Amino acid sequence: MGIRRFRDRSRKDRDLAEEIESHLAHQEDENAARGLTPEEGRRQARVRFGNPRSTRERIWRYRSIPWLEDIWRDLRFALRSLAKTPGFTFIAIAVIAVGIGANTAVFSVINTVLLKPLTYPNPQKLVELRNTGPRGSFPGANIPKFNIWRQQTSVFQQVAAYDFGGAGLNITSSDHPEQVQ
Amino acid sequence: MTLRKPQEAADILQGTLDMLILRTLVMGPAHGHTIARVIENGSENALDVEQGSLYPALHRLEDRGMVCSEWGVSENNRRAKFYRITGKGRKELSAAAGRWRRMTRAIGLILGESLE
Repeated sequence: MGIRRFRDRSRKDRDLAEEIESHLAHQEDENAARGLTPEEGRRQARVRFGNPRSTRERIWRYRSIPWLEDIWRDLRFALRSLAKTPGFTFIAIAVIAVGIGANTAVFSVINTVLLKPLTYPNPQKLVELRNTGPRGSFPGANIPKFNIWRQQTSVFQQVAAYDFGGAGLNITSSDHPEQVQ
Repeated sequence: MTLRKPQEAADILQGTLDMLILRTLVMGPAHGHTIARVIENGSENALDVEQGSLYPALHRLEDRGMVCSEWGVSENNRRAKFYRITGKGRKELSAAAGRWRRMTRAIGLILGESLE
């Protein structure tokens, strides 16, 4: 049956209304032929048919997809209500926009800081060396200390350092020492 | 609404109205009122076509391509919508009639001769 069932509902309903009228007229003709007065014939034809409107509603419902129509009706009602109160609409949209924006910003930070793996091979083997003493623990080392760490390590494959805001490091392996930041 | 309902007239079994309508239309195009009249008279008034179900059934059949319809002028010189059975409708009718005959035969076999 497919889509044909749902198409042209209004036209089909008008058609049906006329069809019912025609049915009642034929029943009246028949009642008149049995010798009833026109009035009684009309009355009996209608009594026998029942409520034409409920027949039409029954066919209308058969041609409808209730949940889809409910959603459509709700949607139109929502749009109408929003159009009626522009101030509220503006604030609501602004709140949602800011909410989504803040969420996106926070998530992009969380994503890069916590969720995405580091861009080094085997990031789970990477550790930070810290100094621990009676006064607490703090990161960092001066150059000689770093050299000691680098040379005396037995548990790490490699020790590396990064420098921020200091004087920079000198590359001394070639003939001309060079300072890098 | 069943003031004129003949005594002992039964409501038509669910699902059989379509079949009866199609059978009626094999004899030629007809409008709703005639269809109801033919079914009622043809069953010696044992069946009562509820008008509230007749038109929904007709429209369902039309949507399923079993019948087609067009407006015309009836024998009473009134405008009426005439239904005509289609090829698909004929096929459905013979299938439905076959099912019905098998079923009534089976039920008849079980009920057997009237107990008494």
